[in-house]
Amino acid sequence: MTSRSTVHSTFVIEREFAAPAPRVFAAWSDESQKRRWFACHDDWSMLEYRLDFRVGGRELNAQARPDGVVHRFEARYFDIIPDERIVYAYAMRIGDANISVSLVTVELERRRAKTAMTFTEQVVFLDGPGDVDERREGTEVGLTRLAAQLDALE
Amino acid sequence: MSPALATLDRMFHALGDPSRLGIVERLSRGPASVTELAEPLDMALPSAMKHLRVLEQGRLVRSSKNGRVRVYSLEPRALAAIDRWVAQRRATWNAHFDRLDRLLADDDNRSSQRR
Repeated sequence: MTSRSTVHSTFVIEREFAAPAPRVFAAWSDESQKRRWFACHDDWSMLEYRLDFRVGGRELNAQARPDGVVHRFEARYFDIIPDERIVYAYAMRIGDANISVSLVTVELERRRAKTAMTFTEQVVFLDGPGDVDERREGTEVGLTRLAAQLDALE
Repeated sequence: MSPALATLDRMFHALGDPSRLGIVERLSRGPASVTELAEPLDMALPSAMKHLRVLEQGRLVRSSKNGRVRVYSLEPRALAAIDRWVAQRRATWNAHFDRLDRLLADDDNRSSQRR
């Protein structure tokens, strides 16, 4: 019963990695490497992971939480400059809900043997809070209350 | 729906309109009266009042009487809920990047052992 809404936001994450830019770029562009840091959750089960890293290529990451709810990340790459820049768009679905759609820019900057990474995400959050857990809990509380009321009537 | 969620819901509804977003943006630069808000946004006074009411209900904006003029300002705590959402997304990415950091360090250790 959440009403339709859109909220736009932009956030930036800056990190420095103790590895040269080509090494960091490989961690983003190579499927087996990216899977290791991006698609692994300790107690989640991986349903599908695919990365077709080229302009126009797609990425899919579908995982089930321990409670069975599926998180689905779907991306498409629009701009790739090896060792320097990656631009992609992605959508996040949790269960049946379209949670957000984003544009991401990853910029790598060489700092001797290290790499400074600037990650910028421009995101539109769709239809109210993205906290599906809370949404579901709310429904469950409602149903419990309804059941209690029905019991009381009998 | 939990009270917190109901608050968020009203808040998102309040923000889900270009005119109201315009008002919020203007108020982020400082308090203003209805007239001051309506003019630059090319809005009739009654419609500005209506939008302000929705924003007040969404607890994004509050008003106070300053002499004969009612002055509107941003509710400082209002955007905290949206910030939480962004904070959650940011935390997820940082967790990924922590793993990336470890992965790069592991590779580094392995290649130095080989040397």
